[in-house]
Amino acid sequence: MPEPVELDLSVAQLEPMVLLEDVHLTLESRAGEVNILRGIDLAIEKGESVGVVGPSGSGKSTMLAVTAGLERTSTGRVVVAGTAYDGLTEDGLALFRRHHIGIVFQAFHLIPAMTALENVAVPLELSGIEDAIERAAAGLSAVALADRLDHYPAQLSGGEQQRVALARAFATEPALILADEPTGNLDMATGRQIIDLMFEIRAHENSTLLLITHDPAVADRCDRVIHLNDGRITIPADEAVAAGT
Amino acid sequence: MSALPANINLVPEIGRGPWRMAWRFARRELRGGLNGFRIFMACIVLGVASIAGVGSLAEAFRAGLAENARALLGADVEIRVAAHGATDDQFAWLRDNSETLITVRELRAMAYADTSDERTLVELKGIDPAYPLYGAMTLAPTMPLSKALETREGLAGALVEKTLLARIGVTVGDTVRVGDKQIEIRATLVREPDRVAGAFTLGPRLMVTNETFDATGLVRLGSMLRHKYRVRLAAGETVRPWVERLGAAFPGAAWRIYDLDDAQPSVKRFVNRLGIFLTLVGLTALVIGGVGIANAVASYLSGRTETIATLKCLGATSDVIFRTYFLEVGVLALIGIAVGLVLGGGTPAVAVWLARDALPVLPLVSFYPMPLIVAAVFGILTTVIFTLWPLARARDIPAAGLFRDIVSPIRGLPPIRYVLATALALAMLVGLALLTTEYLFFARWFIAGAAVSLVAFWIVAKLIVTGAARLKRPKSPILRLAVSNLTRPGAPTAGIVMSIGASLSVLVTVALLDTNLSRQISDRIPDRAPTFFFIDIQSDQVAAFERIVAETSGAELLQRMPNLRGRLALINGISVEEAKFDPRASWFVNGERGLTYAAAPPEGVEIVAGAWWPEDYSGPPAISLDAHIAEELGIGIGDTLTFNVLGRRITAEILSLRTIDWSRIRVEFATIFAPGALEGAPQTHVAAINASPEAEDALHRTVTDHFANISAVRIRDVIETLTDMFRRIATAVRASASVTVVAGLLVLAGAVAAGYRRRVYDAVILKVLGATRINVIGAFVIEYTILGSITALLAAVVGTAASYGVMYFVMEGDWVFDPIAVTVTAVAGVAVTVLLGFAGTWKALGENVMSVLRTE
Repeated sequence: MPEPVELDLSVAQLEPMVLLEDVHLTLESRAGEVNILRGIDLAIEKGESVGVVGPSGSGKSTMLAVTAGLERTSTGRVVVAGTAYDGLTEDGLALFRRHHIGIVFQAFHLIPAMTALENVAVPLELSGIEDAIERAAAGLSAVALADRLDHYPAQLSGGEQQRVALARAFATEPALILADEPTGNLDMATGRQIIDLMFEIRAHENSTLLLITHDPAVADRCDRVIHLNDGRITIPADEAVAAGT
Repeated sequence: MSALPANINLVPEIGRGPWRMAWRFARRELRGGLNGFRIFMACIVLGVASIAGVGSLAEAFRAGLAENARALLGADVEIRVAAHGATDDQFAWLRDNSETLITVRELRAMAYADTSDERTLVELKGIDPAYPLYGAMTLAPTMPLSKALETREGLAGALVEKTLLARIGVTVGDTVRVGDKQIEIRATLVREPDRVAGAFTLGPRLMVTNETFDATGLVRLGSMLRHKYRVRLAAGETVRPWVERLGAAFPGAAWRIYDLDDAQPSVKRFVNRLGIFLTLVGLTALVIGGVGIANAVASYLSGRTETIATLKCLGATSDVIFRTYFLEVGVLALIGIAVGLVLGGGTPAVAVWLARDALPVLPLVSFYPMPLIVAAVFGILTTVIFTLWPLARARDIPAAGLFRDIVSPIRGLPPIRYVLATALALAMLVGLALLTTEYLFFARWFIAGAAVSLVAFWIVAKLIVTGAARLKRPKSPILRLAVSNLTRPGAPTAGIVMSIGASLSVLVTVALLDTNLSRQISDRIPDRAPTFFFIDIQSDQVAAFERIVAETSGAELLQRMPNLRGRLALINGISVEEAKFDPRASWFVNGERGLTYAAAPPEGVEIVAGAWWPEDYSGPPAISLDAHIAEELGIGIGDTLTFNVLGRRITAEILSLRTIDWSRIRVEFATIFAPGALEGAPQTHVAAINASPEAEDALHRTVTDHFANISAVRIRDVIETLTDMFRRIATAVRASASVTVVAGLLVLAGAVAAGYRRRVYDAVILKVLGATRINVIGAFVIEYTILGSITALLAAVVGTAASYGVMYFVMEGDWVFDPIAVTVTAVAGVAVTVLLGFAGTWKALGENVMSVLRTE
């Protein structure tokens, strides 16, 4: 069991929400070592929204997974909301995610056996919150799905599923939202709606946002954009533009 | 966003009902119905029902036997004496030391119809007025026993088995002649309390009073008469002390004493044999079912990897994952166990309903809690053993795969505590199996055999994967796909091989048992068999009898040998009660045996040790003995056996050993005396006669007309009776074994179903890339043919060994390897596997491409 960690709030309030220091991630495969992340240094302030762009295979999703505590780094340090990941076990990371991180996937990843209401309630129930169902219902109302509470994912359209996923990600009012191409499986119009909704709720909750996207328009809505290439953060995109490169 | 609390406690939250939360998640998953769990449930129901059924039936038989023991024995104690019966002193002692003493006598005789010229061999039984001491007779039409058997106007009454009426064309009210006595048939015997139903007999029962029995004139010197003195003990008297007093009063008396423990030993042997066989069936169903359970759970969880990964992303710990799916599996297992218990508990009632007339003793239909408790524990342990690993692996599914949309199941060993828990459950299961069985020998061998077989299949699976990985990459993409499906990470090759292997092993075992049982039936009919045995030929009738045979055209005397009755008393000077010998020789040691003597060796005799005596032998008593019996008794050339022949003890040295083929229908004696020892003793003769179909009836009529005491046994009738008996046994064996066949087929189906999802995906992708149906199905067929064929080879070996064990040790019969049965079964099993998957793949090819890809 992980040790309880007492935080010094004054320091916590000054620390970035997300801090990746020289993060490397190397995976073993039959073909040999694969260096996915090659020394990522990234600091994201509280309440900041950061867009991540880059070609396929550049390590964007892996960086997100590392930030979520779903992948262990080979070297380097990950600190989120003042908590260093290297001191936590797998279960400790899961517990941390419950309270502090919400994730939105491209493929929605709703639980097929549960209704929309139950899907949203899961993180609340895992957190031991007593009125999980009521809160989940409120969350779904906030994404205009009050009339879909008892629908299963198979009965929802892509856009509706992603709205459920959004409601689920924000259900516990997490400090950090990670979104991996949330509009990748949606048509343009629906995608825009989802993005609008996401930024709206984020602003309301003042959550920190780390968002992977291929859409420049979406990336532009973030406070800043970073460019990932071959496992490294190259110059931030806006600085590249300013430098005329 | 809400402000961060002053202290953030990252310790896991316990004490808020983690099992309640897991149950909430489990319940939601279970709402979707039994999809993916049908085979799981079926395997549990089958396994538990088998064990519960076996246990309940065994208890029911035991209870039935105990309840009917007195009626089956017909007494508290029975004393059996051959030939002349008890002496006057012995009879007086028995009468004076019992509350009630009755005499029952039995003899084979001929019954002649007065209304037609028909005659048949009967089992004649003479009883006293107080018969039966225990149990009740059932007659048709109903009437008091005394009324049925009383003499009216000089005509004695008789009861007969219904089959006799049809055999000689008589009805109730007609008269028949037995020996010198005319008898009127007053009723048929529906139930004779001391007679085992379905037991082998040479002829139907004909029951008369002992006075009528004597009046037939068939009680002669040397007749093969059996006396049974049945005692009801006085109140307060117990069997053991009474028997000891009897033994002290008449030491060395040539009788056998039976008490309730010995009531109908043939029935006990039947119950025992049945119990062993059914235990093996139950254990097999459980083990096979366990493999099916493992497949089903692994398959179900592999379909839940995305959900599990999602839950982890949302903050579910590994324990939450484990508890959720443990509860899901546990609830369904408990339901399956409950259904299995209901079905198994009802087995005695079903057995009585289906096979009432064929059972030697009726099982007592009742509720037997102990076998059900044991079966439930078996079910729980089996579920734990076969589900713990897949569940433990599920908790470690990497959630990060969601970011790559490729969540793969975990391979390798689960955490050590789950390995230990599985090992503990396995040890408990084995311990329970050994503790609760009466047949420790068979249970041990079964457990060892099952374990070795499963490990062998696992090794074969690993060899297949290794071998396939080392193959040069095939040029054909379809062949490449087939081979790579065997080796890809997470491929359920081991599970499929074990499933196919276990199922095929069961099918091969049952197929070989079936052919061996059928062979037992067909081999009963030898190429050359005599037409008749004539028994109870008195010595002064021999010459006349042989003249009749010689004068009957188409009849030929094959053999004639003297026949005496004797009981083994000593083996190398040690009394049979104290001597140690193989239990298989019990039939020779206990009870009366036929003895004969001969100067020259009978035709076709094969001496395997020692030498036959010269024809003019005049030395001390000597014998030639069946070599198998000698081996089972642990004796050989030069050793001695002492027989009690009509009260006289004769000790004879073994001079030669013979092999006897008891399946040949001829006059055979396990013990043949040399000349000089038995000639002076009262004896009858037995003759084997061959007759052409035209001469058969004429010879039968002539001999039985001339000699009222000579009984004719038609070999054709005996063979029919034996064949019918073996057919019934074979049917019962097949019916019981069908449980294991069903289990095997379920597991096969489950193994094929396990890969269905992957096959759908592969089929769709290939379709998109331009592959035809033939291409897609070809890959699957190749993959499963490789797996099935290699596995079938090992399954053939396992099944062959298992069928040998069952045939030789359980049924105590000969075993023959039938390569055609094995090959056909193995090929058919592989074909069924491939066909099942073919059907699934064909279905998969019909799936809408985009609906599958969208889901992926």
